[in-house]
Amino acid sequence: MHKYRLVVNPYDIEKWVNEMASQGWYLQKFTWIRFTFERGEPGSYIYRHDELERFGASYEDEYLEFLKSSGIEQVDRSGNFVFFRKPAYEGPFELYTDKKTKISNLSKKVTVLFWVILLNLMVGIIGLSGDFSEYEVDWFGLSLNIANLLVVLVFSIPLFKLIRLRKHLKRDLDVFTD
Amino acid sequence: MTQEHPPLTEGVYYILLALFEARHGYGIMQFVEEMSNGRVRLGAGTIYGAIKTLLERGWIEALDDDGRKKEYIITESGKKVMEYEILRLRELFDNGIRITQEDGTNA
Repeated sequence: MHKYRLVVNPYDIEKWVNEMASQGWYLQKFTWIRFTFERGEPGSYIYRHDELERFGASYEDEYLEFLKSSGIEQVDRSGNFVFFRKPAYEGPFELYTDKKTKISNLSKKVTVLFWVILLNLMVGIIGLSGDFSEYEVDWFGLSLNIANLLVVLVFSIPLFKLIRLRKHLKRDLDVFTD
Repeated sequence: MTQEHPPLTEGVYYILLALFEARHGYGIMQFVEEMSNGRVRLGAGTIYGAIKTLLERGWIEALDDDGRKKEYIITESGKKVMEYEILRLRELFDNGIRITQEDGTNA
């Protein structure tokens, strides 16, 4: 079975993939927006995602090998975005158990989303004011700039969610260490 | 906090403790879980990140790679760090017990 999802907030995707797994649909493959599931016994696996740092092939191999030797199966990879899984009967499965790594991972995502939104907002607003300044409305430009603003809308919600999550973790860090 | 020997995280403390004997990543994970009776379960990503940092600091070293699984062991400077940490924990523990028990007798 194939499903299509836009990966804006990876944590939402991970949650969704785990919900599918609890219904007996197991992620097998994915390429950017296309996710392929196969049927199995419900709830047999826990899925986790990771985003590998882009420039560091040697470190990357070592990390993936490390995870493999820890009994973690690599499901599939698309770019630097990877999905792993582990049998559920082996107990809880998390890749990152410390708040500091979680916070820095979140910060990376927040930065990327922030720039995507800012760029689209600027291009959209400057473009829109240009689209109407001519005698005739530039329909192509107009639809493009509306698309820019749509991107801003669609990406803003995940951005705020990620920022909220990060704030929450940071507040915990004031009291608790891990 | 400006201290000469800042507190270690629980994860780093247990990883260093695990490496008083040579262990690979998965071995560390199992050791820590057993030692803490299942309370501390370190994620593989967290352990990997910590190993990289500890290697950079020279508190642990990798043993000669004889297979696919790399083994690590604590160094002398790593042991020093553990010594200070245990002293720090003892101070916390002693003060904690002293004050809470005094409080207990007064109540």
